[in-house]
Amino acid sequence: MPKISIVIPVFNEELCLAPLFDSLDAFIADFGGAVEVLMVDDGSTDDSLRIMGEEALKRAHFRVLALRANTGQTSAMAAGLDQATGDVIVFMDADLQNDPADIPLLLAKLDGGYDLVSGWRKNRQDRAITRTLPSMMANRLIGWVTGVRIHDYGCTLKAYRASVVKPLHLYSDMHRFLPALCASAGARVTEIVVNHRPRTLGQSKYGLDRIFKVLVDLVVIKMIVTFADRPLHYFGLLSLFFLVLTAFTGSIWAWNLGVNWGAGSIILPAVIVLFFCCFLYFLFIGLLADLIVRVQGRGRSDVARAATVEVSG
Amino acid sequence: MSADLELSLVVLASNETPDTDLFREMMQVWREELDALGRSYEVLVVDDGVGNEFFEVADELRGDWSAIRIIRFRRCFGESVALDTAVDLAKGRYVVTSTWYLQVERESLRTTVQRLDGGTDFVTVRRHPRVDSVMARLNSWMFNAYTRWLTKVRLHDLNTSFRAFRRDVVEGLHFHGDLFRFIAIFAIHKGFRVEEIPMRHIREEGPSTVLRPGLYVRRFLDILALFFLIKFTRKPLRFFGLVGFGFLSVGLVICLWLAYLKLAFDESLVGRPMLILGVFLVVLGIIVASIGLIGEIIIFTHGRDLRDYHIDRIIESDDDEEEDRS
Repeated sequence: MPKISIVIPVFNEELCLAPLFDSLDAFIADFGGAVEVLMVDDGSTDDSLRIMGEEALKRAHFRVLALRANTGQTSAMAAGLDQATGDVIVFMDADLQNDPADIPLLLAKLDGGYDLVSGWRKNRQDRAITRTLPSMMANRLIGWVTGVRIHDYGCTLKAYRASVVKPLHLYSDMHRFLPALCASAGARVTEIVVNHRPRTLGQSKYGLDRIFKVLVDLVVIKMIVTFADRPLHYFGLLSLFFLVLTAFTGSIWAWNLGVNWGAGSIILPAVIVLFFCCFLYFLFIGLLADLIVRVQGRGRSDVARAATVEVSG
Repeated sequence: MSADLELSLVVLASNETPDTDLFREMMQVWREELDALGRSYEVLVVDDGVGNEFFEVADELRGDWSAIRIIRFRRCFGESVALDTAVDLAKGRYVVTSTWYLQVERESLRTTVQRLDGGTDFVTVRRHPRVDSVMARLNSWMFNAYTRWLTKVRLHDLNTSFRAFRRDVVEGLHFHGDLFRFIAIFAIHKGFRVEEIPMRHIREEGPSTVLRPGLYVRRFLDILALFFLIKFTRKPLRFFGLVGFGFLSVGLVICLWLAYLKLAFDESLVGRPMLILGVFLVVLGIIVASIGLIGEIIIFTHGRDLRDYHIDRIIESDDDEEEDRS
C-alpha cells in the first residue's frame, strides 16, 4: 500500500480548523494505510497557526509548516510538496468545501492506471455569477488552450503520483495549471466527481481580479508546455510571418512604381519598413531567448524528469 | 551554515578616501563596546579599493586586536559587492554593519544586539536627531518618502550604514548595483521581523550632497527596480503583459475607428497622423508583451533555486520539539 501525503494550504481559516481535524481523523481511522498530513500555514494573521500547532502535536502523522510570510496558495502548495514523503500526494482545501471521504475514490481511480486524478465539483455550491460561471469559462479556456480537457482546474482536491509532480517547480500562480504541466510530462490525467459542500464558516479569499491573472498565466503555461525549450522556432515562425508580409507589400510597391499615389505615396514604404522591423525584432528576440535557454537552462529538463518512469524488478 | 561566533562587526569603507583618524577613533569605540558586551566576536574590515593608507592603518590595528580580519578588493566594486562578500565570510550569528567613522551614537551596538536577542530579525537605525545639512536631510527625506510610497513599507531612514541582523536573514539574498540600501525592505518582504529604532546622529562624512542630477536618476531607477523585483520577479508577464495590453488595446481602438471612417465614409487617411499613432501603439504593445515572454522564459529556465516560500518552522509530534528551520 503506497503512502499518502495530504497537503492542505491554510490561510486565515481558524473557524474551519476544528471540523477539518475531525473529518481528517475520521478519514484516517477508516483508511488504514499509511497517511501523513502536511498543513501549510501561509502566514495567517489570525489564530490558525496556534490552533494547528496544538492539534498537530496531539496527533501522529501531522506536520504543520509555518511559512514566514503570506506568499500565496501556489507557494504554500510547493512548500508542502517539497516536504511531503508519500508516494501519492493529495491536495485539499482547508475551507471544508472538500470532503476527505472522497480521497479513497481518487486513490482507487489512480490505481486504475492514472498518474493524476482531478476532483470535479459537478454540483458546485457557490454563488453562480461571481464564482461558478467565471470558473466554468476559465476551465473551458484552459482545456482548449492546453489540450487537457478536465472540467475543474480550480478544484484543489486532486491526487498526484509523487514521481510525476515532485520534479515540477511550482511558482507564481501555477497551481491552477498543474494538471496541464503534468500532462505535458506524459502523465495520464483523469477526473472523478467529488462532493462539494457550501462554505459555512470563514471567508472566501477569491475575487474577480483573478481573470486577468488567469489569462496571463495561461499564455505562460502554453509557452512553457510548447516552446520553452526551443523558443527560436516559435519566435522565428512569427518573424517569418512578418518577412512574408514585407515581401508581399514590397512587391505590391515595386509593381506600382509607375503609379502616382500623390500624397499617399508615403504609406506603402512606411508599411514595408514597419513589417521589416517587426521581422528583425522577433528574430532577434528569438535568438536572445535561445541564448537564455541554452545557458544552463533546465526548465524543461525538470518536466522531462517528471516524465521518467522507473522500471524495476 | 556554521555559526562559530556570536557577532560579526562589518566595517565598510567604500567610494571615498577615509580619514584615518576618524577610523582609529571609531575602532577604539567599537572595541570598548564589543568587549563590554562579553560575547565572542570578530571585526571584518572591508577595504573596497579605497587606497593604501586605510589598509595600512587597518593592518596596524590588527597587530594588537586579533579579532580583526581584513578583506581587501583590488579596486572599488561598490557597497553591494563589499557587503555581499563580507556577509558570506562572516562567521557570526549576528551581523552588524558600520561605516568607517562613528555615524551614530555608541549605544547603538548594545541596543541593536539586545533587540536581536529579543526576537527581532533585522534592526535598522534611524538617525534622529540628525546633524547633517538641511540639503542632505531634504534629499534623504525625498528618497525615503518615495520609497515608502512605492513599496508601502513604513521605514524612515534607509541610508544609515549602521544595521544589525541575524545572518540567516540575508542568506540567499544577493545584491547588485545599489540595492544593498534596501535589505530591510527585502527582509520585510520575506516575512522577517524588522524594527526601526531611532539613534542619535554623530556625524556624516562622505561625498558631499550637492545636487548631482545623475545621482537622482540612479536613485529613482533603483527604487523602480526594487518595486519591480519585489512584485514581479516570478511573474514578469503580469507586468509587461499589462503595459503591453494597454498599448495594444488603445492602438487597436484607434485603428478600428480609422478603418470605420475609411470604409463607412470613404474619408482619406493620408492627412491623419492618428493612423501613425495607432499603428505605432499596436506594434509597441506587441513588443512590450514579447519582452514579458522573454522574462518568463528566464524565470522558467533559471528560477529553479528562487524559493517563493520561506519555512519559519515545522511543528510535528514525532520528536515533539519545534524544529527551527530558519
